[in-house]
Amino acid sequence: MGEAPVRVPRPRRRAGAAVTGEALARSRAAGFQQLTEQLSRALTPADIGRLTATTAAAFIGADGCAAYARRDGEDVLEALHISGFVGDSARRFTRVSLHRGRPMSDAVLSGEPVWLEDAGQWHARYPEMAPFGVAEGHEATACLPLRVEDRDLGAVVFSFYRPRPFDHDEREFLGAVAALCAQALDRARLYTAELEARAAAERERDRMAFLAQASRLMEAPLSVEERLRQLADLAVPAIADWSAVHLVRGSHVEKVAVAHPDPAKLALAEELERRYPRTADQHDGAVDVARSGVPVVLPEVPDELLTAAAVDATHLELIRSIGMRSVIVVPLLVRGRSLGALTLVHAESGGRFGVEDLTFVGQLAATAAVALDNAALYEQQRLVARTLQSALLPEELPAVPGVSCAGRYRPPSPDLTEVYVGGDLYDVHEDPERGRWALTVADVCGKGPQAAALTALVRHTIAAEVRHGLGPAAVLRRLNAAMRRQQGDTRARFATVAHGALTVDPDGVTITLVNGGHPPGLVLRGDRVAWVEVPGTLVGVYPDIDLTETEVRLAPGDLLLLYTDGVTEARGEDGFFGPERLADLVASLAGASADEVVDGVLTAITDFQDGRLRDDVALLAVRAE
Amino acid sequence: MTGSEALLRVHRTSYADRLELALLGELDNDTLPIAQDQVAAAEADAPPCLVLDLTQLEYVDSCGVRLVLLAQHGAGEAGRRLAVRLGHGRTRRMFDVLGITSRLEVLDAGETP
Repeated sequence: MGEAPVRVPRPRRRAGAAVTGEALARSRAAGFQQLTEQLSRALTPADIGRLTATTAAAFIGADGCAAYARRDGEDVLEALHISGFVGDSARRFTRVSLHRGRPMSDAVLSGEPVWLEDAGQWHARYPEMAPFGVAEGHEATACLPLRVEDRDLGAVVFSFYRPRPFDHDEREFLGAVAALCAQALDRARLYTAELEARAAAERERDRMAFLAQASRLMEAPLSVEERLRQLADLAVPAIADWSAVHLVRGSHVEKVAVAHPDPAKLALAEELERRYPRTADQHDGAVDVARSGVPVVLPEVPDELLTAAAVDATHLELIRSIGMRSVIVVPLLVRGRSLGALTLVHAESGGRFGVEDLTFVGQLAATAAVALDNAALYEQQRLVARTLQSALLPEELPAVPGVSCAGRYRPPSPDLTEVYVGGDLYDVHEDPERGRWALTVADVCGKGPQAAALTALVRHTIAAEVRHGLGPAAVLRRLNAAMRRQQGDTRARFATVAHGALTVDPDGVTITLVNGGHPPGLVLRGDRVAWVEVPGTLVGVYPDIDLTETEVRLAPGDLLLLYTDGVTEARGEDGFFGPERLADLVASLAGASADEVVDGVLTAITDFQDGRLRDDVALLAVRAE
Repeated sequence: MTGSEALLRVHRTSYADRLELALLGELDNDTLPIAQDQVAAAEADAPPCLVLDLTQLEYVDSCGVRLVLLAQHGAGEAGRRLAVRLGHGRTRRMFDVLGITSRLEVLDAGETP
């Protein structure tokens, strides 16, 4: 601070040196000015306390002074600064509990100063405290409360080696000095509170930024365990020195990640685990929290805890070298279930976790828990989709002698391959009694589970009716009736179906085709393409449907392609893929195998839409060999 | 679905003998509920004839067909008429392929039911 010492005007009158009242007033005015100036430059309560106990005390002519602050609502005074007391008084009175019947407490509790002019008054009024009050030759004491408006800030005690009559002027003078100190202390407390608030706001902002970063990480296209490992890495040294993630796996809890910025420290932790593997009956904070779902905060890790955990001296040494000082363990909770635990440890940084950190660390754990939960739900959905899909599409097409068949199904987006259940299907099944094969490509409008249920109905009804020996038109009429029965009269969903009965003879293949509102098939003969326009009504809505059976003849090398409207309705920068582009494409595939044709079409429409389909697509190609 | 409102707009015009809903934009699985709400609101007014004009749609898939089939069913139940305007482009071809044009009252441009 560099403040100049305040000249001390001695209030005592000396013989032969008459100090006039005006001179004293002038000198006190100058002293006030200097004290005010010095106090105005002090920032913290500690600075104010020091100035009060030194500069203000000297100004007053006190031989000892102690300045105290009282925390809001607490019945304890804490010394800001003590000077002029020798021996252990200073240490003894560092923290003073408020207690009626003691001079400083009385001053604070009543709001009125307590004046003790000599040892006699001490003994008379505070016999219990007198031995301390008049120790080391002290005589007079003034205890003044430090107050600003109704804010109780603490107290100041001025002590004197000689008796001092506190007359009216003296009381006014000391009261004015105390008021000056109180105002400075009030300002300093506000300043400190503001600094603390700002620091808290900054910490909160950093934590929000960290949470945002953690959330982004949890959405990264990585396995959930890799995301948890990266989360553990992200936490150090940003919010802790050590971090670990444990996951509940059935009946046991497994550590999936541990992180520290220093690889040597990590190696140490690994060595500790290798040399002293945990036995089942040993308690482990993270495992307990993962199981119970109840968080644990250890603001200080006492050495006794480490000693108790150690099995021998080397073990204890290794545990101590980890440097664990403060620990927080929170469960990974989602929908009332604990999936694991997140552990954060402060070690060499000297940081400290408290219960006030539970909210933030809890939020971080919740982010991880939701990611874990989503991964599990996704896996479940994948399983459901795979199971449903296997009910909707043939695992492989049957071998038809003299014919090669190829079928393909694609969901709208490649990343949906595992979870999407669509309404398109292709199928080939044998009718052994009549020596023929049934071909089907169908499209149930809509998507989702209801569409999938109807798609399954389409597939299995056709298969059953074919085995009953019905011809293609009769099969679709039976299907129409079955769909209408299934969904009542709501017209909620319909299907378009291309369906044919295929027979093989030595010169080629004949297909009797019907079309229930389905896009026309294509026949490729050499490099020429012909549409197979067969009129017919969509299936599942009207009680009576118009169907026409048409015969398509394939000579060896000829190919019939059936598809769903996801092909022609594919949209790209150049508009719709459309039937003309499809015809040109198929013509360009002259001589290709059935597999090459369906793959060629899929590739073309995927490219046309910049790799992304809008609708699902089913294709079936049949080639006479 | 965010933004789907902007993708489909429905213009409603009342005439003495009919109520016309002209659909503009894209009619697919995402926008179908908007169209269905508008059709339901129009049906609630019980016009003698409801006309769905699909000629100004930039995109329509099987959901457009569902919309028409549901409206046709609703009109049949209530003893009212449903007519559609399909134009002569893709929308008309789609209804033709589905084999249902002959089962609908289809109006040409300017034609009234």
